[in-house]
Amino acid sequence: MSEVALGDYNRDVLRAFLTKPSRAYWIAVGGLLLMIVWGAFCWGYQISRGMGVAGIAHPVGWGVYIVNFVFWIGIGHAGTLISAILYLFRARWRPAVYRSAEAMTVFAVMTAGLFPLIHLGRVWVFWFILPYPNQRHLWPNFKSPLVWDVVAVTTYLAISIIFWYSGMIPDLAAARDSATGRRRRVYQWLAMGWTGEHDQWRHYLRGYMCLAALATPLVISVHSVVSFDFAMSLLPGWHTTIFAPYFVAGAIHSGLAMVILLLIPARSLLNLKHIIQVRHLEQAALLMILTGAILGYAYAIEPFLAWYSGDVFERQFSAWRAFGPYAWAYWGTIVCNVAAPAFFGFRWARTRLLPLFVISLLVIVGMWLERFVIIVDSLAHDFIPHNWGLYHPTWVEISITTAALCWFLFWFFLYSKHLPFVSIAESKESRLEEAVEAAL
Amino acid sequence: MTGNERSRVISVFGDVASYVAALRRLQEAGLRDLTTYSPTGLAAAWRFLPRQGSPVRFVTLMAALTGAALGFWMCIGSALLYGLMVGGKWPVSWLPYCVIGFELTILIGGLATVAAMFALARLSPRSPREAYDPRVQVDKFAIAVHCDTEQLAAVDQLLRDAGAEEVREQRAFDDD
Repeated sequence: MSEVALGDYNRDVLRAFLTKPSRAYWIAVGGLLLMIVWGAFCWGYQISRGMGVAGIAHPVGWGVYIVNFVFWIGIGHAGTLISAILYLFRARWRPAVYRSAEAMTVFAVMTAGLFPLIHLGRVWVFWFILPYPNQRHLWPNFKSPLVWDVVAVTTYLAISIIFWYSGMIPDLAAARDSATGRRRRVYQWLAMGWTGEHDQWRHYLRGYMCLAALATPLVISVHSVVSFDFAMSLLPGWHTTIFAPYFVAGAIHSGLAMVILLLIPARSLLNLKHIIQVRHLEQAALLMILTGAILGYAYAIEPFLAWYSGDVFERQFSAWRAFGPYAWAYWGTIVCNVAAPAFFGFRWARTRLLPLFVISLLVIVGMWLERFVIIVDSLAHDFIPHNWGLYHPTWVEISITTAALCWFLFWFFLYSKHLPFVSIAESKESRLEEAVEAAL
Repeated sequence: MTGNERSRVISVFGDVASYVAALRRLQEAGLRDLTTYSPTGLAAAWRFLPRQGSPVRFVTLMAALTGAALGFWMCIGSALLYGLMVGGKWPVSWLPYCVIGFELTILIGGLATVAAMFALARLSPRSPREAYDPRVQVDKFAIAVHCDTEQLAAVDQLLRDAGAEEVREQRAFDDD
């Protein structure tokens, strides 16, 4: 990145979002909005007709809505990993990609948060699960993993938003100084009077460090808590101690894949190829080799433990998962999440855009299938044979799932043309710190 | 005009080496009343500046501990509202409450950190003050030295010798 002059970061990053968007951009945003409206209509239809219009029925009470919830929470994990954990480790490749990864986190958690509401059916009573003082002294059950989930996801969304916004303040000041008219007033308000004074920087950097220190255990805890939704039950396939690290590794795996998928087109469309370079994507791909290997271990240890435990229910379930009617999802998971990212071990696969894009897409598909296998398989095939049954999503569920993807992309599209896509201040930081050290 | 009448020398630097050299010379000259502006934090250069640390982390620690206490208090308090022994077990269960306690540690700690950061850095939706030069958001560095009027010429020369691209003086302004 040393060939990029300091002023070029301002010029190029600001130009990417201060210039007027093209007609193609607004057509894409309009198309996404149309799909969101269709999804909202389907949700309204489900509310008016009842949950019977969805495919969830006994014995599979948790279908694609919960699959989507776990999937989107997982997508959000790479953003916090890149922004917080890599910040504490001072990873050099972080500044080019962390802003968009953080934005992805916020939008992914916003998307995930919709699904428990959609799954709830009677959405207007969602507040029953919130802890608030009331005259009848009725409180949610704090021993329930579902209440933990609400607290963990709410905390994650709040911390992700403030971390994203805090990191953006110096860049919003740069945008304020370059923008004109109404946009200037908006950026002035968002920049909060930032001038780059030493007194601002010293409080800001300490505060940002503290936020990173708080967000680091949070990223580990949130998906662990999501995994407890399953692991705290007694169902074969769910009741296992490996779930927390297994879920966290899977979440980071899918999040990194989404970062690569979003950045490959974005860096071209926003003319930021010289700032978001292929070597930055390569670093994410290298991390995916690690997370893919952890997942491979988890996939191998599950059937092994089923056999080693001698538990007849675990053994029959493990065999059914591998060779039953959902075997396509099980094997698809292994191929997409373990075999495909293993190709990143070859340099050509992680330094060329086409294999990077295709493998990341396969990982995204694989991670969705993994959640389907975990959630639906266990419910479909529990202890008692006459309780077994299959689940097929209906058009309502498929429509809402597709609309959720459009909802996520809609926010990301808006972000890409209205806020700084790359951190201007932090991109300059490592070079300037080196220059200061040299001058001392 | 109210308060002390002070003068100010504002200098702009095109490279970080001359900016650091100027800070060093100002420190050696005993001029400690200064405001610096830079495109990034440049923590390595803080050793020449009078104020270095920040109490933000203490606010974070206190708020995080408060959050943990609040989480456990809420869980235990709500359990004790119905203190019925079920299955021979005490209604308070410490282990599950750790999740709530942990999440509130992070939530309250994070919110308080941002609030403290904004308050201490005096961030609010307003226009930058007059000494602000937008070029410091790009690739320039600026130092505003507050000094007595009779020191103006010496400070001006010191900054030029350190490599300042521009030096301008503001005589007898209201010290804010």
